[in-house]
Order: sequence, then structure tokens, then C-alpha cells
Amino acid sequence: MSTEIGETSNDAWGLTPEVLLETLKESVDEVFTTMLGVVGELVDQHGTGQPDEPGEIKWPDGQQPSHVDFEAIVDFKGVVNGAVILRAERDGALDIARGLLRLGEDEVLEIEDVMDALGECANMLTGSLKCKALDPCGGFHLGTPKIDTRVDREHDHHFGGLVYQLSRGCTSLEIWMDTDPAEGGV
Amino acid sequence: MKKLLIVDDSSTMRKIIMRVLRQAEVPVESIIEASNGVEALEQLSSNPDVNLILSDVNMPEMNGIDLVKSVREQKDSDQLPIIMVTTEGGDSMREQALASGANGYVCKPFTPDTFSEALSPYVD
Repeated sequence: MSTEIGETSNDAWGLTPEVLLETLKESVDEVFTTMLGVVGELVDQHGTGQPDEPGEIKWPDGQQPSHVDFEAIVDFKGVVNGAVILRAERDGALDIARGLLRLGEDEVLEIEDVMDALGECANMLTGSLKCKALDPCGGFHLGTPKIDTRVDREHDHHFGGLVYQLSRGCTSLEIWMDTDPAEGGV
Repeated sequence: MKKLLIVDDSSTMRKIIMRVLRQAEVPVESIIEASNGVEALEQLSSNPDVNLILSDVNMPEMNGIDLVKSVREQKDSDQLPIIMVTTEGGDSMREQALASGANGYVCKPFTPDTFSEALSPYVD
């Protein structure tokens, strides 16, 4: 497939920021409803090139940003390379873990359980994105989730982000891609 | 009644699967766990009475496709049902899993109903 002047390799495959972000929204609805038993409220959407500051989730209307306590990243490799990053403050991370494990708000969770739950959530979201938007462009492979207080991000192009209010906390999801087509081949 | 082996590198997903099995009232006698294909083969070696495997695909050490191939290479295991439970829901991965010897495929996210339906041919 050729790439026209002014068009990135991602655009040439139809993988525009708009397409990927809309698909990620569908994936969030599906995964949150089916597996977490919650409906996250989409409170903000960041466009291309407007990533959150490291360690912060940006809120609309100048509200105080939320501090990020955990990040989970799942890489995808195929005709283009990129990643989905799930970022969460403490309460948002607990919302996700308790939702997945169907635990009450007063039940105690070990930090390892919370981190594993975030990784699995990011894994399901990236898998859903892969099925819906990436696979039609060619074969893609997912990496295993990496979870930490800060994860290393190898991709340089911010494709957009979504911020969700959950029961008690918030979480954000970002899509990052490689801009260099040479790094995206299989 | 069945003895199940659940293989997934996520402890969260192993717990989810166990809860969904209870919700779907799948008749299960006991469940053992493994976090990758290598551990699963060790569990099978010490638990030859396992009669159903539910396995993730994308795992470190040994992935689910290689696990299926290894199990199928062993004597007496050709009748052991293996269901893949994975986020890799694309047609190519599904075909690869079935070609390697898996009997069925459940895509995450799943509901208790879809999970139960996929398992129904292999449980009492």
C-alpha cells in the first residue's frame, strides 16, 4: 500500500486517530459492561498530540488533574506498531479490580491483585481493539501486559485518549503509535 | 463431574473463570491452575485425571498454542478437550488454535451464557 504526501503510514491503513479512538470507546463499553459490571461515564476525550502529563489524568474545564498511581500497557505489532495504555488513580484502579473480581467496596485487595486486574483489563481492551480495527488491516500480535506505577512507552505518536469516571475513581485510556513506517512492518 | 485445569497468566482471569463456572452451574469437581504452558504440562503430569483444559493463548514461557501442540503430542491425550479462552478473537487466531488441536474457543470479554455454551459439549 502506498502512502501519499501528507499522510502517515497509519492513515494509509485506515487506522486514523478518529477510527481507533471510536473503536476503543466501543471496546470500553463492551468490556466494562460485560466484565466489570459497570458503565463508565466518558468525561473527556483528548485529541492527537494532547497527551496527559506524566503522572496525571487531565480533566475537562480546568478541573484539578487526578494523580496516576498505576499504568498498564499492552503493545500491538503488525503493519503498524503501537500500544494501549490504561492509567488509573488509586480509586479508579480499585474500581476496576473490584468490578472484575465482583468484590464489594469494603473487601480488601492486595496490590498485586489490583495490578493484575489492571493488566487484564488493558489486555481485554487491546484485544477487542485488535479484533475490531487492527486485524482487518493484516495480522497483528499482542504483547503481554506490563503493569507498574509508570510503564516505559516505546511509541512516539499520541493518537488520543479517553477519560472515564467509574464508581469512586477515574481511569484514562490512551493510544500511542509509531510514526516511523519502517518500524511498523511485519 | 469434571476436573478442570485453568491456564492463564492473569490470576484475575483465573478467578473470573472460576466465578463464571459457578454462576453457569457447570458441574465441576475440582479445579487446578497454571500460569503458563510449562506449568500446565507439569500440572497435567501430576494430575493425569484432568478431563478439561481452559487455556489462554497469549502467555509468557509457553503460549496456549504451543501448549495444545505439546498436549496433543502426548499419548492418551487426544481425547482431552481443550478450550481456548482469549482476547485474540480474530479468525486467523481461531483457525490457528483449532488447527493446533484445540476443541473450542471463547473470546474475552464473555458472559456466563456464552462461556457455558462453549463448554457444554464437554461437561456433563
